[in-house]
Amino acid sequence: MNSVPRLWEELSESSDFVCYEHQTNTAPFFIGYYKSLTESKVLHQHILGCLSNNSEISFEDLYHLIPVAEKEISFDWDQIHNNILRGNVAIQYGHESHHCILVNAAASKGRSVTIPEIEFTVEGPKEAFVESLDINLNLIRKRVPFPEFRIKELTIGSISKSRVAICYIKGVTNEQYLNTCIQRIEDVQFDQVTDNTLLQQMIEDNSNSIFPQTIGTERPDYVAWAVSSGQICVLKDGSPTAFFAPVSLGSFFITYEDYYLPWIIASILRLIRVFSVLFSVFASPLYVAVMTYHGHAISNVFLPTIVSSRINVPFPPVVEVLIMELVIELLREAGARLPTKIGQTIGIVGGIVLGTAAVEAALTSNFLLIIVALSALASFATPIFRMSATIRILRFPFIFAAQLWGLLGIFIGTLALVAHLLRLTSLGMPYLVPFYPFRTSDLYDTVIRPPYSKFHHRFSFFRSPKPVRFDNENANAKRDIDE
Amino acid sequence: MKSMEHPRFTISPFLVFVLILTMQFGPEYIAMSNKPIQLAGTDTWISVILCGISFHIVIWMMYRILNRNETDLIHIHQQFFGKWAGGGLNFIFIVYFLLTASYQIRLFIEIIQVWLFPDLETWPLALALLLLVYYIVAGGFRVIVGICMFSLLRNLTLITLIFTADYFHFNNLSPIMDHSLNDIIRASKEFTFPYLGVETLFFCYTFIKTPKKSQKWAHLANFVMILYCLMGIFISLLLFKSEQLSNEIWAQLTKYKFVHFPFIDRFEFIGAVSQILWVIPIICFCLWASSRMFKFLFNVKQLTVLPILLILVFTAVCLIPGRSLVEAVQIMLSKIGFYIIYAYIPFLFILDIVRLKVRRTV
Repeated sequence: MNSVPRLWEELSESSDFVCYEHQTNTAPFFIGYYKSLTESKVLHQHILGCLSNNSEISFEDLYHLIPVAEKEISFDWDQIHNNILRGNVAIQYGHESHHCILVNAAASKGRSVTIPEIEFTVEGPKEAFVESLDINLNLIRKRVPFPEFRIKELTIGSISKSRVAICYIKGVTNEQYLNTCIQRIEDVQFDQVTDNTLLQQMIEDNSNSIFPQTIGTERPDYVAWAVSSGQICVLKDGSPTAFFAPVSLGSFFITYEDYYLPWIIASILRLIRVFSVLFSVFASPLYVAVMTYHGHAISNVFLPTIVSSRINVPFPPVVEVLIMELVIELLREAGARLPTKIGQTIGIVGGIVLGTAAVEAALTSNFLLIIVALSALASFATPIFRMSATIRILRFPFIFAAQLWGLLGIFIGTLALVAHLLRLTSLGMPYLVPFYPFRTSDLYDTVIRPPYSKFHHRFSFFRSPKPVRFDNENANAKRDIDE
Repeated sequence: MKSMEHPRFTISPFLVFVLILTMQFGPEYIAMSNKPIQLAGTDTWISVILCGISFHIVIWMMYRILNRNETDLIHIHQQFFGKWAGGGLNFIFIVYFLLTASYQIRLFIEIIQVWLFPDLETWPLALALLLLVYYIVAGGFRVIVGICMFSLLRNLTLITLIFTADYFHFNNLSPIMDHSLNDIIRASKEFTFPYLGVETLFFCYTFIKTPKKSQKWAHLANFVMILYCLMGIFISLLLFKSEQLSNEIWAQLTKYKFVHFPFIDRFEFIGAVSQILWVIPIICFCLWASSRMFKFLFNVKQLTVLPILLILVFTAVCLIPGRSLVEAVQIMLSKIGFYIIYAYIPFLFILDIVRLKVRRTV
């Protein structure tokens, strides 16, 4: 029985590889596949069914008879090998022939589409990406039923052989950005690319920056929006997040829900988010600076409140702040590693019990507790997870700078941060657009989300060949009273 | 001859406004009102306007020179005076820029030492600032202009001067026109130092996307600078008697003492620290321009020259110990600046016209 064709001897060393010999009146057919990768229904009904019903069938006839659309005849051993590894069934006729029929029978087991958990919104669609690339592409394609919408598929990783899909709209996306993106993905030298987040880090312009230069999302509607704005979206098989580029700093403080709410409400929410980011970065450093150096700069009305709250605290302000910041980080980290229900308990125990006890034990002041808790809360207002992690880390250098030179240290730190942001690029696009280089025409949809009639132009820095979204000449005609 | 930079490194013409304004409006404005007010009293505003107009003429001359040659001063020098003499002139500018950078850093550190940390040594702060400058300059010209743009936030501290309105003495403004023309002109000579900074245009000309369109922005910057100076002078006049001003060194910082917020009692701390926004862009530009000139003079990479120049500036800053020497450097710089603006640029302008005439007749 074990007369495996020469081609497949190597594969048979793996125990999940099946080589099945089907005797016919002419010559034997050899059927080889990985049972861990194939759908048994396709195999049994369509392929074996065909063979057993027609006992005197020739190779070509069999090819035409198999009722599966994705099939081909191949002579290339590498291709046969790769396709078998992707779940194809190979059928060889006789021992010595060098060509095979490849029939796609890949099993698609995985989650079904569920509601987004990280970027949940109250309004709007509630579909999120899953691990299967084909389902994800279907989710996007449904939203962009447009012939110019193109998907370019690449394979990366010498071991993982991951399928990567680059989505863009031809004629809307700038060719230069697209070529840069494709080039960078092709240049990735890595064996096991398990997730899109790895790819994100590998293709970013400056991998030493703590600022993310691409946005990862699990919302197909956000991706559809980005693609139609002229950005490039990249998906990877086995990853439930897609990412898109080029992006600017401002887009990290946008949740997609902003687009589903009336513009005034959305704009106010955005302002709150920007304010909360500033608060989160600068609140505790300012506390250190004021308490260490500039106590007399604070008004007499305000100073007693702060001083009396930390009168029994034995530590210098910077130690006090560092302890509290580390406690908050610890709570967050412990909460993130535990199942949801236990995580909540930890949050309550940590937040309320530890907080009150720390104040009563005179380890920290009430005032600082409020500042630290608020700034931790504020850092979570950022919708993109990678950015909120960045903002949490960002305050530590500022705390040290404030301890060193007070307000001056914070100013120097801020200038260094601005210089860093000015030097960053995303796929070659400056990171701080539209604020620097300054473009008044691009200022819509940054801090304020204006009504949709103002969205008639795409961001000029996406350098789209088609910069106009829609014609708005009629919309802009001003009317007088009673006309 | 046309020698423009790659479009990736150029800036939009309107950013010339930001650049020139930041370069002109340096930290020396905090002391600018003392001496002229001693000379021209309530008529100082005439001097401000006179000096401003003269700078408008200088900007116009600079654009005529630059537009005709379509390159920056480094190359103009070499075209006009040959390799060696032109190189020597470039070298003078390198020294001028490095001296300016050292002066600015030393002045800022002095402000910090006087207003915030009396015990602070000079070198740690100088080191931190120069590291910051290295990081910015290594990012290239666009990053420097970006820092200039960010430094516009300093206007917030100027807006707070509204709160000093309670203490204005409008009687201080009269009498009008009771100083001689000589006094007024001598006072306006004092203003060349605060107005200095337009000479930077000579070195960034090739980095402007459509340089010929940028002229109006340079003029606008100078115009806004006149307004800033007028504001400074008027608030000084309204708040202080001229006898008081003669005792003040940094009148501008003293003005912040009048500002009160419900929760901040002493705004002058923020005022003093925010001087960094006036200082850093200028230092960055000075080091960028001088390292760029080095690049063309000795055919080396800017990135290798920059650390050497920074070490030079660092030692210079550490060698200026106190108030008297800072003052001496300031007087020297204002003299050099005065001659660059009112002697050297007109000289270049005339030379350029003559060269053109000669070439035409030939």
